[in-house]
Amino acid sequence: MDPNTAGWALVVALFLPLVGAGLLALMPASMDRQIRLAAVGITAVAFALVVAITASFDFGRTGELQFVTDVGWITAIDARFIVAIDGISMPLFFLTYLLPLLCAIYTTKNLPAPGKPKAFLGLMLMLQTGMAGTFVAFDLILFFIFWELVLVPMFFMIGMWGGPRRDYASVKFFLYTLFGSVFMLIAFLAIYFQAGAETWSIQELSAMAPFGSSTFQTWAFLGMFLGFAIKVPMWPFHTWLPDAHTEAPTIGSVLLAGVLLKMGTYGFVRIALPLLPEGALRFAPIIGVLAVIGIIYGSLCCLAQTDVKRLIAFSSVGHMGFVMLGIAAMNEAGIQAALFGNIAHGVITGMLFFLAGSLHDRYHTREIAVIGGGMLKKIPKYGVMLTYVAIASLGLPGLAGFWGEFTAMWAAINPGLGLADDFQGLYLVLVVFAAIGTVLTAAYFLWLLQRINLGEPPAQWADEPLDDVKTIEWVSWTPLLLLVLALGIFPVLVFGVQDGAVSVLMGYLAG
Amino acid sequence: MEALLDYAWVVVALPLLSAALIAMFGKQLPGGGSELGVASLGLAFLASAGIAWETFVNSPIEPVERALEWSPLGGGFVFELGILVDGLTAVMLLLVTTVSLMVHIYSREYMRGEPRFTYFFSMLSLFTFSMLVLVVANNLLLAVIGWELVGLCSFLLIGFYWEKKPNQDAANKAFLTTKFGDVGLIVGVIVLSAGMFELDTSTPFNILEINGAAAAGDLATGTIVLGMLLIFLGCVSKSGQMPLHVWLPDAMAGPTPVSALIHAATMVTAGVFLLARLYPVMAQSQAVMAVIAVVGVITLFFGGLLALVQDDLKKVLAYSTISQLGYMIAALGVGGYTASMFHLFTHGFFKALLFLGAGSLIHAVHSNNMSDMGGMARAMPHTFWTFIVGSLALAGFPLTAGFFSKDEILIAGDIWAGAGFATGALVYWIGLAAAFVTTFYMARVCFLVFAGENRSHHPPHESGKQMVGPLMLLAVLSIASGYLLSPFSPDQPNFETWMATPILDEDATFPFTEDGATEATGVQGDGVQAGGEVVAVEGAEGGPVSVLHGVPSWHPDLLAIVLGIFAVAIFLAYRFYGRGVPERDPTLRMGPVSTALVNKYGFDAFGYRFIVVPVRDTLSRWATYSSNHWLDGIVGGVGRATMSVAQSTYRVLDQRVIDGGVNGAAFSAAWWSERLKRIQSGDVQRYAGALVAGVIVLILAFIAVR
Amino acid sequence: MSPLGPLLLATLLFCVGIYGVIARRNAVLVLMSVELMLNAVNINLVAFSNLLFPEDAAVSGQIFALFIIGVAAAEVGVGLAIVFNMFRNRASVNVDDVDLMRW
Repeated sequence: MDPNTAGWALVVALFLPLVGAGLLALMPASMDRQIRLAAVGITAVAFALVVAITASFDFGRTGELQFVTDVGWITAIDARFIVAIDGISMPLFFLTYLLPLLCAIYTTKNLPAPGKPKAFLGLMLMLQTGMAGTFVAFDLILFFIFWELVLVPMFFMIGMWGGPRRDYASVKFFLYTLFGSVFMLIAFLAIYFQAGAETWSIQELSAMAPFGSSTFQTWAFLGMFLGFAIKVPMWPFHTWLPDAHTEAPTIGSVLLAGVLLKMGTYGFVRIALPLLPEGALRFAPIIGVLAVIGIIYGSLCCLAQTDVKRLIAFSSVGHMGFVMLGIAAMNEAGIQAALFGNIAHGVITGMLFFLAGSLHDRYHTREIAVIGGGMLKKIPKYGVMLTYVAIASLGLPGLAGFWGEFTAMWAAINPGLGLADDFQGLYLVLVVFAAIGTVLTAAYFLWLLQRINLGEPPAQWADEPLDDVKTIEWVSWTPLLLLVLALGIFPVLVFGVQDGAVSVLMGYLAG
Repeated sequence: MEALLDYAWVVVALPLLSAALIAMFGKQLPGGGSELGVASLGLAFLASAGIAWETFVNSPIEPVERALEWSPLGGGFVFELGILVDGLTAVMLLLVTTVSLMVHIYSREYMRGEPRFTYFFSMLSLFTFSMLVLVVANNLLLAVIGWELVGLCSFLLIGFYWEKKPNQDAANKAFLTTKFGDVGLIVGVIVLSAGMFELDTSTPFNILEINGAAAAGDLATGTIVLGMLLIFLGCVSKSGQMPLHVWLPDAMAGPTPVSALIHAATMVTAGVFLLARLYPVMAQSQAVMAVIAVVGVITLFFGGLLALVQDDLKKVLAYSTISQLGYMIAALGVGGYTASMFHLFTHGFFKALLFLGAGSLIHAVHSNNMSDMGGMARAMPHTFWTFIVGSLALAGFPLTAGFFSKDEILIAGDIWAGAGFATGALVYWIGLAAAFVTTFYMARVCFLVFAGENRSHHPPHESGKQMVGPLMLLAVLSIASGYLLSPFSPDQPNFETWMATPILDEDATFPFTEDGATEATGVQGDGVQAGGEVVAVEGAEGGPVSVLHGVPSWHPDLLAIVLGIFAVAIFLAYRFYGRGVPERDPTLRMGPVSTALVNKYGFDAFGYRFIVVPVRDTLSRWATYSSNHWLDGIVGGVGRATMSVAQSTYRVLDQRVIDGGVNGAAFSAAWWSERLKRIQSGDVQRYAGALVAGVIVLILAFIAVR
Repeated sequence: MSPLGPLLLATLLFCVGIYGVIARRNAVLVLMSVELMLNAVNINLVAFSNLLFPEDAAVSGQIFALFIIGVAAAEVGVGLAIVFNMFRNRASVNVDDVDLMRW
């Protein structure tokens, strides 16, 4: 495929899951097994297509849009259908096709009550198109539509297949994020009218920016900030996350942590920064402070959790804090770090949620005290896997988590765009506290491992036959486990792809 | 042979390869994978020996640097995967591979029959790999990676017996304490690299570039002071300096070979090594040097005292390690760069020897406690004499390696004092006092373990060949390694030329001040050392920069003092412990001093009470509470407020006003339609008439408007 | 040629038609009156076409008239069919009897 002309490939890949959801809807509900296999097939074909796109992607010029489709769409409001991919989108886009495939494989054997694979997988496929679209849409209206499209399937996933407090969690998730996106939409509109160029194209607007007075940019950025920060989620907008994660079914949690949260940071990088550079500059120290508060705060919350899944959910708050710290640095290294952190967190925390889910399948509880230790003795392979992923998550070098965290701190020591002149001291303090956050992160993960992994299994479980890692779990988890290692050893896999695109982006920012 | 240095990466790769192979295939092999570890370490040792030889005979050499561009980091900066080989690297390579090889061989017997035997060897190899990464790294980021990985291996191996809670706690304590220090290391590295941003380099972490920039005065003083102090914090935790030493004694929960390799010979010296690597940077600031010296002095003395009251043999050795690391750190703080590395080198051998010897004893009596040993000299002759050699070296008995290296440190202190820095005198006198303490507690150990009656519940037996062999080899090295820098080897090359790098070369005078107008002032050391060319180089404006250069020589007065200390300490130890375990150990009869020592000066309790508990229990609960109640309360409050607004909106605004309007519209529509419907008569002609009338009206209106 | 004559004729015919539509009770006669009105319009169209474009070959007025004749024929066809049905159901062609569409 020629990346200059093969825009169709991207569009096909984008809508294939949605079409697949339609096909699933046509199958009779009684064909339980076939439905599940069909979902695997659909996601596999989509993934294969994305692999082909990746293979023919021109990595020499990641700063330019490739596989572009740019056609008129709603001419009355100047909205165009612009779908393309560049170095910033590529890793996230790839992840968006990998995770649903693994989820579909996992679902062939595991599906929480009330079953109904047809609806569940249909929603998952719909979700996939929404998520993927967010990462490749280059028109604000189109972006917004994909952004909102994601809410609905996730709402039903949590609301129907969730835990005991699913109604509360799903409504909270939906309303909270919708609340934010309203402000985001207002900001989009404000930019459209301020620019006066009768276009919603992100590329064209980025090239035109900055527009409007500094005050305008501040207010518009505030609107976007609310929309994106809630999605990330940044402290103090994080409270929907633990509830949503805790109640969501395993697949829901995996996709939520793996891809959905990344939409927020991606939005910051792709839209908020280049379109509103001055506003971003004003907000950067605030973002930095909130990010570091999130790191420390999230880690402290983790120390107090008694529920494994809730602990992992809170750990996301801390990790996304590092991502936002990178963005607050406002330089190339910071953006690189943020985007790397995105991918690393998606892979690692996605995997952690898989593990938490299967933990619940085995023990029928997620309470640390009830599990009571000895997992390494009882189900050794599973225990080793948990240790491995936990260690990756606490940012050990050689595994994926390290690069995002270290580079974010490194970038933040010398913030770009003149921030260093006014805020050098503040940023130094931020880096120190972020580094202290890594200690707390290590503390809660090690303590978690100590309490559930090590020691002798308590009497309650001693004679209970518990399955070690099953075949289907091996199949659906191995790619993630390998990716954790590969990203740690070859950070160039992400850094290298993003490098050119981030340079172009910073070009917009610097004006 | 020169080309050998280019392939130093092979030394690093071999243990990684064996770690992976053991993990994958170890269980299928007859030796449980240990043979793979021994083989790869053997090869790595040979290669290291070649590299060491090459750098030694040609010393001083230009550092060899080879790097691969590994990944962009953004902003035009790149992360390199590279090696930096010079004398310092070569010494560390030799030390690490030698001790690691010995420990691998030793563990084959020591760990026999243990569950997770294969895992153990895989981890040993992985540790060795990580340590070597740290050692050969050509940039600080890669060094940080190695640094963190050794921490992980240390964690996994301390917690090797993870079934028991104390071991788990010890592992967590070790990881978290060192991780706390890593905050300093990481931020320090970041600060230093940020100082490089303006220097038009794409590799801001490169060690040679940083050293060069510091030496050229291109780094701001603030950057250097802040960066080095932060990095030093990392070294404090990793190298067991007070007050972050608390993890090291607990780390003895791991298997003894692990203690020998990781917690005595190699990993704990990482901090010293890193400071030595960055010596040209550190030497830019008098304040940094002073802080380092003082921390080192405090540790070498108070850490040593703690060894006095221990009954656990391994803990005695652990505290002794802390104390010896204190010597190394203190030496760096008084310009004794070569002396520090020399002590690191010799200490690696004799401390590994002592730990492995202790392991042999523990293996025999199934207890760590000296009160369960006694009279082992007869039962375990080989262990006995090798242990004695190690003890003598540690105590600094003349003609052993420890003697030469420790004296170098004391002399460095003396010269530093002569150059007008108070820290030098501190190192010299407290170093001597601590030497007494060291001698006394090692004599105590030797008497308690080897003299008197056997108190164990197992008939002691000598260990097998694979355990005794490494002991003997290390015993030889514990003596021989000292002769690399002794009055017996006045000719170059010796250890000092080995360590010299161009930046630290005597001729390369230190342009360490901003104007570069520095006249290196040679200050002739006075006092104990007679003759020789030992000089301290001092930069202008009091910017102290100093390396010892010169030919080692005898210092009769120092020798006399050391021998005196030795005689008194041994005599006292013999009086107290010569006839077995005293009913009440005199070290426990010193009133408040003993109490303080037994309580480890209260550091552990303080840390637990004022750091662990508040963070783990109070702060974390507060955070969760505030998240659940305040932040979520706001969200919930917004939700409830919205609901109540919604309720009143519904009742008043919607139902009354708006819906009232809607209903009103509907009612009025009905009323009117009732009246208007009569127009629709159904009579076609009436419609037609209305139509015509309408048209006429329109026409008339049209005309009227016109 | 003066258009006065045709226009007067058309006015006369139209008025007759209006009278017929409004005043006659017989549905057939009402239809016939409608035809009268349409033809009055036709005359007007032809007359104005001739008046406004005397030299041209433009014949749009005439063509319009032809269309109206066609439409009128169709209308009468439908209309007569309705009247026929009305007669079959009610035995009457009096439009006053047909007020099914009233309220």
